[in-house]
Amino acid sequence: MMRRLTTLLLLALAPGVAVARGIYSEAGLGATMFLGPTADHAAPGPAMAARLGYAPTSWVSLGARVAASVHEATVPPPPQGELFQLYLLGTDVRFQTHFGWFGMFAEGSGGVAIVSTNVLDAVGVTSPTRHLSPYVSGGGGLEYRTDNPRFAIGIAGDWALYPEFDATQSITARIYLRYTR
Amino acid sequence: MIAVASCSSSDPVYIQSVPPSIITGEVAEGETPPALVMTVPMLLPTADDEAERMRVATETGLPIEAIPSVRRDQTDLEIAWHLENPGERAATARLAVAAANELYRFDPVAFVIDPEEDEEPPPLMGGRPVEVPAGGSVDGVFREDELIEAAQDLDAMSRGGVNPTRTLITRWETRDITGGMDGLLPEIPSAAIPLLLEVSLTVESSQPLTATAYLRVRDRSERLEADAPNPGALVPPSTTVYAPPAPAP
Repeated sequence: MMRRLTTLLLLALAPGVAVARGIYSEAGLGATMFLGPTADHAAPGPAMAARLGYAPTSWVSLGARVAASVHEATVPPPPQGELFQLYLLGTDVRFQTHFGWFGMFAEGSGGVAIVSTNVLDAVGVTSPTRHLSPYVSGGGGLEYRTDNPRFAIGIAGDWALYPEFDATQSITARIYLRYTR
Repeated sequence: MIAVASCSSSDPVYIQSVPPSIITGEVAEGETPPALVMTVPMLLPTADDEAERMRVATETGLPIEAIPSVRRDQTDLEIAWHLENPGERAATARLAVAAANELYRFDPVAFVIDPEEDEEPPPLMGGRPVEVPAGGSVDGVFREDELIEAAQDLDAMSRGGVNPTRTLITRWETRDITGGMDGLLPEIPSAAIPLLLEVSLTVESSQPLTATAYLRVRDRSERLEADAPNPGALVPPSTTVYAPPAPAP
């Protein structure tokens, strides 16, 4: 058993797996939850993200990111059971290293976040004139390269800060499929 | 781009009542109960809006003056309410909604000419008893379809010449107003029914309760100005109280 596991590990870490460079696109699905006081007013919800950019080398890529998540507002009633969306639009940078079939990466993003409604105004997370905020985020993950070097799948986690939304913080976990041309 | 496109103009906007909460109780005859008032902040029409109004007039065959500047079919409203009973005894509450569009205001008191003879009509919405347990709370909503009906009721009695009590207690089969007699307009197509611009919620209760309410607005006219609106730039709710025609001698 141990021998089999060792063999698998060596195969996974074996050099020589081609790593694609060039234009990439990525689609991910996951979940976003808020941290701190905002977690009392917004439930965790499903999240999706798309990324598009260029990887000039095998260890760095730069691009744009669009993401959205849906949450139930858990503010004191009324209103009750209402949903809102959080949209992110920003730039994206990733540094990665590869060990055979696997890769590890750290990523960062910055841009604009939009809350779709004013349902969080009542609890001071947003305000009547403030439903848009800059955001910064950072995180990392693990990637597995498929037989076709253009495709990779991975898991990732990100933390984000929204200074204009009462310094709200969130964490997002996602699985993704990445295509590099 | 996906995110920006998804920020639809019909995303709901929540409008808090003025005042934010009231303490309810029993209301003596002739006394005005405190109300939670919610106003829909709609911008005055632009030249494009006026052109659209003209198009509706042509389509419905009504004169332009009969087409309100803010119309019901362009905006959906819903009222979410919350009653809290801090006391040690269960309470029975009755909610009642009055409202105003840009042309008329519904006030049940206006129907009482002779207090000995006349009774107040039922409210535009509400009237059913709600039980609130001791130390507990109850939430509820007046749904979008109920507010659609209420807007139709107010226009039917005020411009459509429909008997007020009949329109308040019966449900419309279509979204058009028909069946009125001697009204300003014999028939009012759905597209020409004004939007309710102000709703006020009153609560009578057997025990003191704290009542709060929000108005949920989904606007497709792109004239909703919820973020710190300038009152002078908004279509005001009418102050003309609808009074039923005096009975024939």
